[in-house]
Amino acid sequence: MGAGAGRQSQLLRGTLDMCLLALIGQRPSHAYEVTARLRAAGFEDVSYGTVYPLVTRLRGQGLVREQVEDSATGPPRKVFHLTTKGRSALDDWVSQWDATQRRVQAVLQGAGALTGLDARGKTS
Amino acid sequence: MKDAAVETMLDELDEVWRRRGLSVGQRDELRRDVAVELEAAAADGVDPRALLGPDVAVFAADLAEARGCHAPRPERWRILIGCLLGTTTGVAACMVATPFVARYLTSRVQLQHHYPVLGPFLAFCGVALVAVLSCAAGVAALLRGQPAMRNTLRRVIPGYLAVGLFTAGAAVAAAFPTHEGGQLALAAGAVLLVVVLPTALTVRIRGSALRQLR
Repeated sequence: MGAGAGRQSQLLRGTLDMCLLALIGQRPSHAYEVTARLRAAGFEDVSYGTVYPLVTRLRGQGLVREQVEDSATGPPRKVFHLTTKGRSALDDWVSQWDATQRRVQAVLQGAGALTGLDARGKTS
Repeated sequence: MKDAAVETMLDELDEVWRRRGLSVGQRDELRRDVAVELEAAAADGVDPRALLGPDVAVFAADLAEARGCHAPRPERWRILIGCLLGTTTGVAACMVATPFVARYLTSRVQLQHHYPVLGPFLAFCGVALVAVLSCAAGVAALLRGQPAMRNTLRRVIPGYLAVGLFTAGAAVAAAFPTHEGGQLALAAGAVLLVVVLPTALTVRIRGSALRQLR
C-alpha cells in the first residue's frame, strides 16, 4: 500500500462509522446495501468486509439495532436501524466533524495550501 | 439447502476463528451471524468471496473482535493458585483433624503386625485424598465458567489421585519422622509435591481439553 493510500485509509477509518450511522439513519438497510450506497457516493475502495464488522461494532455499542426481516426475493436479511442512542451519537459526531473540518480548512486556507488546489480545479 | 460456495466460505472463516483459539460456542455464533448475510448476498447472485473481499482472514478477525470474541486467556496462574490454595487448605484441615481422627481410629482399628508402615501409609493416603480433592475443588472454583472445565476436571482427577498415592508412599519411604520439625518439613514437602505435579498435569490436560474444543 502506498503512502497516499495509507493516509486515505486512516482518514476513512476515523469517519466511516459516522457515514454508516448517517446512511442507516436515512434509511434502514442491510450491510450489503450500505456498502453499495457508500460506493455509489464515491468510496469505491470500501468493501463489505470492512463495513460488516463496523456495523457489528456499532450494534454492540447500542447505536444501531438489528432486525431480521423476511425478503420477497430470497432468504431473510438483517436490516440495521438507527437507535435513539445512535441518533444522538450521530448528532455529536457530525458537530465534531463540522468543527474539525472548519478548523482544518481555515489552517489550510491561511497557509495558502489550498491555492494550488483551487488553481488545479479551475484548469481541469 | 445452503449454497455450496457459502458453506465453503463459512468453513474457511471457521478455520480462522479456530486458529485464533475461539471456543466452539463463539465460532457457532459467528458462523450463524455471517451465514444470514452470505445467504442473502448469494440469493442476489453475489459470490461470498467477492462480497468479503480478498482478505478473508482479516474480515474474520475484525468480525470476531467487533463481537468481543476473544480466545480464553492463559490460565496457568489461575491453575497454580487453585492447586496451591486447594491443597494447602486440605492438608491444613487434615493436620487439625488428625489428633481427633487418630484417637478415634486407634480405639477401633488394630494394625498390630504392620506398624510402622501400613498405619502411617494409610494415614498419609487419607491426607493425600483430602488434599487432592481439595486441590480439584480449588481448580474447579478458579476455572468456573471457563470452556471445557468439566472435561478438564474429569481428566485430571485420576492423575491427582495417582499423585496423592505416590506422595503418601514417598512420605513413608522417606522415613517417618518422630520430631515436630521433621513432621512440618514432611508436610511442606508433601504440599509441594501435591501442588507442583497437579499444576503441571492440569496445565497440560487443560491445553489438550481446549484444543479439543477448537
